[in-house]
Amino acid sequence: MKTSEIVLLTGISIFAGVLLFNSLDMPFSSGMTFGPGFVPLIVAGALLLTIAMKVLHGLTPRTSAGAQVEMNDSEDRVASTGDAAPQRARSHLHAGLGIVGLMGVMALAIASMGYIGVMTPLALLMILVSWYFAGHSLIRSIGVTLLVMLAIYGVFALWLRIPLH
Amino acid sequence: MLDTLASLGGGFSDILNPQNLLLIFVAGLIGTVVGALPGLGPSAGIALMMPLTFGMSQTAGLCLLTGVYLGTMYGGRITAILINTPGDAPAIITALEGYPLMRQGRGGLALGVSALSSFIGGTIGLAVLVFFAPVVAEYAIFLGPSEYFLLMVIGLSTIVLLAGDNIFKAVIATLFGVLVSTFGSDYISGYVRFGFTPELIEGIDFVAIIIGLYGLGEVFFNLEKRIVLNLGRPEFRFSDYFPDRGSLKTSFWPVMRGGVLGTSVGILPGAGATVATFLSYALERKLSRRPEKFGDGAIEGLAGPESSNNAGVPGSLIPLITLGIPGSGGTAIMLGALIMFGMQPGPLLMIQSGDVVWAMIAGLIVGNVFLLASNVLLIPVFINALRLIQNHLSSIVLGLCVVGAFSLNYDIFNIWIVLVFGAVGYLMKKNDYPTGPFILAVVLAPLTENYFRQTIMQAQGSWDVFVTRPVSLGLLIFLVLIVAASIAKKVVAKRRGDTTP
Repeated sequence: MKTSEIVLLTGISIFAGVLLFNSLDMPFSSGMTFGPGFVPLIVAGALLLTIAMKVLHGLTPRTSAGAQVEMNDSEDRVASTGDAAPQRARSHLHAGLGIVGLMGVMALAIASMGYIGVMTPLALLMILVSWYFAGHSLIRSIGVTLLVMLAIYGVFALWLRIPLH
Repeated sequence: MLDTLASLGGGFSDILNPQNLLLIFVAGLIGTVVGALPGLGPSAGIALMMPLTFGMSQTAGLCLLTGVYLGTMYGGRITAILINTPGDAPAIITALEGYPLMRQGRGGLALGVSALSSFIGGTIGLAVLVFFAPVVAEYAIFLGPSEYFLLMVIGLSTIVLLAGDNIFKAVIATLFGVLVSTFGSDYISGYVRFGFTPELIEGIDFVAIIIGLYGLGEVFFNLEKRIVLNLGRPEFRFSDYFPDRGSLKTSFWPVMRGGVLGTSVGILPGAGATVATFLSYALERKLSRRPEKFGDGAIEGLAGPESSNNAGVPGSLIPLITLGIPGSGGTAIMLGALIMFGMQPGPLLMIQSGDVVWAMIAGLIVGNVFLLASNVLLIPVFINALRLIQNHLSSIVLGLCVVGAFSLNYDIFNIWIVLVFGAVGYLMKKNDYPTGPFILAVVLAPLTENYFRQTIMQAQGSWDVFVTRPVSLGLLIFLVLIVAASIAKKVVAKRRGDTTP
């Protein structure tokens, strides 16, 4: 299993676990029908069970043909073969961490929107994406972002009267 | 029949003047633009235009609102195809087949096929609205929760087709979608489930989920893989934007089938258009000679559901006009507009205000023609606009996702939802987890649960209701046949595979 899949399944497991725990307090049945706790309890349990089976399935040793297919499917494993393997693996890791960093910066931007409005943090975020991640020059990134923000302001704030600031 | 045509003729004579024609044309264009913006759909479009109708006559006001409604349906497919950001549930299939076509440099073709399919689907829906509305509505009221429940289950059964090769991944995605849909007030008991924050009392906004899952998830994925579009320089060769004869031939029957399916299922309140779109997709995949192409830009996979989606607009107006029952957010606002204009929605509407209703239907027919023309002519503009911004697409889509999420109810909370589901979408895409089953479960699971509980409650705890009601029994048999056919097909395919050396 790839690291990113482990992260995804761990996140979903925690989510299902929290909902399972909270659904224990909800009525399982009401009158002649099922209660509000019925679906979340059953589905959260089933989800945790399926994830456990998926993990076990991933850990079970495979036949050589199956293992070959798995290796072809997985970028991480492809990256681990050949001469340029360590460099490619580092590149994948670097790119993945970059996206995690972008999510963190975006979280900060959203948190600040409650204090200074949507437009300014969004503009800074767009400049960062254009300059650092997409590789454009800083001047170009600022220029394009300003144009886009003007268009967004014109359509959403002036025409549709959505309070963006 | 002749009476109907005479009434429709009267409606046309009311609206065929330069002022109303201009109004319908402008309304369609505004609807297209609003529908193309992430986060804004028919409800927002109609609500935005409502104040403009205050000084207008009933006919002009309703032409404006229905024009916007129809326009948003056309507009919703544009962002789904161009930037993989569907604005509503039916547009998910559009993104599933249209976006790969765009990535192959055939975005113009995808937009052209989708505009034509939408037009034909809308026309089929309008024909049913004109000629069969009272009959259809008469039968529709005999459907109870048990029938609705089974229809939702049939809709959910299309998950099998969207599942991909790994059954574990599909099941995890589906169950995860069902869990996400359980947030918020329970409609049967009023119990608030998982109201960890005040915003969650109303549940998680579905549109914020799809903006995150598809729009932002795609941005994260493309940034990591350094995927950049290469659509070339802006060009204005019209031949690139119109479907060729082969594409038209491929899409003809899917469009017809989608139109009929969209009208008949689109009548159902709640998720009629969504179920119809997914069923149309499933049907086309079953009938296709090359089902393996689905998901990679199959023309018939785009055409059928698009036709089905737009056929659902007149379909959803049938219960509104004949019974006064709104089947969606957009028709609920239309209901408010009818009341605002002093009309009484319900069985007496056609008797008391028949002339206005027929003028509105005539306006829809004219609007459908205008929208085909304007949308086909605008395709080069959309494609070349995308070519102009293709190098900066990631930051622009990110901006639209954030602003679109905020526009849902002017709240930062939905931007958090977009970020969370952007991360989920990115991880799902990176690990080949299918998003189709997840999103279908998010849309249909709450309705399925509610109808199921209502059915059992009405039957006083008995399950016999599913086999004692004729329509219910018919749907159940149909469902069993679908499942049996799927299993038999897989077994036969496996046996063939085993015997092949």
